[in-house]
Amino acid sequence: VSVALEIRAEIVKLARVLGVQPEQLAYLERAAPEDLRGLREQATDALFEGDRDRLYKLAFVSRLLPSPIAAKIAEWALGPLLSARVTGLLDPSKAVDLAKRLPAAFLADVAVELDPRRAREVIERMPAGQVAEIAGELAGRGEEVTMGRFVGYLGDEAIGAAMERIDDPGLLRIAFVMEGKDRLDHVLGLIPEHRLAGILNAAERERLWPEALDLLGHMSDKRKGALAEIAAAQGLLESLAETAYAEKLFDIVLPVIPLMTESSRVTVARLRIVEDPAALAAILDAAAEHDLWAALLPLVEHLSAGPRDQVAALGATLDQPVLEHIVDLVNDGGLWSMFVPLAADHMDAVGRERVAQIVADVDVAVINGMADAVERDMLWPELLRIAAEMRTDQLDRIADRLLAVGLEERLPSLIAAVEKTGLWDTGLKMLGGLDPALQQRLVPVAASMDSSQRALVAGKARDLGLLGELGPIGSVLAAA
Amino acid sequence: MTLPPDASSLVYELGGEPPPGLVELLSAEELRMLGETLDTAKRRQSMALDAAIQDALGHVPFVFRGTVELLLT
Repeated sequence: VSVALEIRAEIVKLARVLGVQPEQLAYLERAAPEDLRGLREQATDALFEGDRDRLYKLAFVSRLLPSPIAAKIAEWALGPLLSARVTGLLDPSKAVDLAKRLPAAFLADVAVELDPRRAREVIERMPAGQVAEIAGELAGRGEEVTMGRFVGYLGDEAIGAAMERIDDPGLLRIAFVMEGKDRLDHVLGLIPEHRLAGILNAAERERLWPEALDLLGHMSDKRKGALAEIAAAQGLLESLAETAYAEKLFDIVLPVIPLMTESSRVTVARLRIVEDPAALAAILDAAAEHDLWAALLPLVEHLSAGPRDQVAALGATLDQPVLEHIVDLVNDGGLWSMFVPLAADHMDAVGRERVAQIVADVDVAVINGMADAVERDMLWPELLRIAAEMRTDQLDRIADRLLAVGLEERLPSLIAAVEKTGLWDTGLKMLGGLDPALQQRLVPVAASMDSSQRALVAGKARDLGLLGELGPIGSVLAAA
Repeated sequence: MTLPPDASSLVYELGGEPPPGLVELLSAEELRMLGETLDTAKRRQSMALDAAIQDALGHVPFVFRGTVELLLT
């Protein structure tokens, strides 16, 4: 949609250059915005070059005449189109002096016809107060396209003064059609903070969310986060998200999530639209298509059970490299406390198995990060459910990595999780897979366990034929 | 890129080749229409300039008028 609106804006601008109605150029609606912009600039240059000699002569005469007379000629004889063509040929100080003598309404007419590229210095030198007056005229006529062409050429003081004369919806529309959007973030910094809430409310009231989302897409991370917080405080996130869904703009919205505060993320996670399976599928599609998993993951822990199931189900079907990438992101973002329960409790056996295969093969640093989170948040039961999908050789490989750091503290946690889940086979195989030196370190811990618990573990190990695998720990347990 | 013959009037009016994406996208008829529209705009501007120059002379004080007329024509 943003491309469609960009095309529409370009056609309006081209129609103005060519002196026709936009409808007469409807056949250009299929064209790319950048091609239309290129065509417009070529046409503007061609129109100038067509009368170049006479325009230069007019400019020369204007320089000779006293400013009061030249200004009258501009207003009464040349009119806005020709005055615009001549402006860039004048000495900038002369042009500014003439402008001082002309009414804002006429200068607004000239602005509509002016090619800012040819009058850069004149525009830069215009006094802020006069720019504001012209902006007020243009705003009253709905000439956002014209103003959007000038923003990139005006100084901060003039932009600030002009903004005061433009209402909130007008600012949004101008930002949308503004040329040179690489400067947009800087310009946004000139908007007084108290107006941002008004602009967002205008987006909802005037159905300008696509324009607002386009704006969001051009902001720095700092401003994106701040604006998202305002939207949350104003209760506008639902409306914004609905538009993102309807207009397929989740690729703009998702990157904002990590920039929000925790409480705002909770609000996003509980939006009605996130509970809608079709909309959530669109969110997940956008994350997959644009590799926005890093942005989406911080939201997952706040989702309610239904959406979590849906996220987990989709995760289980992702290609292996994508799933591996997500595991890396989980580790980088310290999100194991979200991911381990998601995989354990919300994925089916096939999904758990796929996660297990990845976890079994990751770097030791990743395993350490996961083990720390599991111990801290008491997630051993969930981890066991994932580990249950691993082969014995995989359990052997990860056992040392999982248990080595803080071994003595982790053994009781593991035993408790095994008792809770009944996954004796998995838990005991992990103990059996430990390096003999680590098993030896666990002997005092096993010896200090309650005798009934030791007997229970020994009995289970014996039943499963794993007692011998436990080495010196098995001996201590068997003695119970 | 070789431009189709239908783009020749547009190339002439623009004084250069239009964006390639447009040439690929537009039909021969649409390229021709675009060239015509630009041609019309140029003629309209030229006529407006003629009229404006005549009109402007009427606003120039008598003492400057001869010089200005000489410079503009």
